[in-house]
Amino acid sequence: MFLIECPWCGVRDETEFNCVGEAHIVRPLEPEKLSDEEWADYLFMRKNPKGMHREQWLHVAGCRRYFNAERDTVTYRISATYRIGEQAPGEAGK
Amino acid sequence: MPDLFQQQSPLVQIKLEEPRGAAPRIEEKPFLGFVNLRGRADNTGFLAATLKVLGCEPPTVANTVVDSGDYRIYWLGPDEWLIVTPAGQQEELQNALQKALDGVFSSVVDNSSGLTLIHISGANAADLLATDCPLDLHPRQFKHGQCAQTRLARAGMTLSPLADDSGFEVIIRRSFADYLLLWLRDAAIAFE
Ligand SMILES: [Zn+2]
Repeated sequence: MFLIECPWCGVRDETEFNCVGEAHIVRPLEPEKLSDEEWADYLFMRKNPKGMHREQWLHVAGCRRYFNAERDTVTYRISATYRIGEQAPGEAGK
Repeated sequence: MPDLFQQQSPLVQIKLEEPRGAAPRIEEKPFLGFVNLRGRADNTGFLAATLKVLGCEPPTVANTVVDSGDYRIYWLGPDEWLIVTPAGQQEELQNALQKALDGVFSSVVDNSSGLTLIHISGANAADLLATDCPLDLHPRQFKHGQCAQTRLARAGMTLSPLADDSGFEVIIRRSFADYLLLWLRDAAIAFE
């Protein structure tokens, strides 16, 4: 059993969660001022790192809240989970 | 004119028999009211209005449930609760909440027709659920006053231990009730 810690519910089974892609993507404030290339970059282009990755997860079978997770894409080890709006670990003071 | 709107339990086709051997008792508590409430727990206007109607503030500790008079209030999320009412009281509660919350950022939705509630009790209640539920149901981890949304045989459920940890109250979707009760009845054979 692989366990993931929901920032609201605590430790739960992996089957209760969905991964919903890269985290911390900021929506452009004035999309109409972007070129097609810049807009497409915002919509479609995602990092695909080998190693630590910050992702959004959804506790779909539990509290149904989105949260962020810091996950190693090689080992699958999740080093931290944190609520939306909270600073990523190691980002404090930056 | 025939009564076209006679209410039927979603389990009308399933016959729940007396438990055999050490199998847990499974019984539906049909026709209860289920009102979904959303609002901001840090909004004093929201808390004051709900306190006035419910007799208590909705629980803000994650995965806890509180009883207030006839109501049972489940924490579903940091801004979402489920209020279980006695049969037929949902409309009155919905109206009272909507009136009290007028102008307050909130939502009140009657979901009574979408859910039903079953009790699973007896010594093997936790073991029966654990047949296909990923949550740790041991009373050390999960006791009366707590609740959780998780899965039973892959279908969603909201469950809460009964007083004295004698079993569980399980809220399931109407559309999954048939499937889940057949599954439970089948899984219970292992304890007969
Ligand atoms: Zn959760």
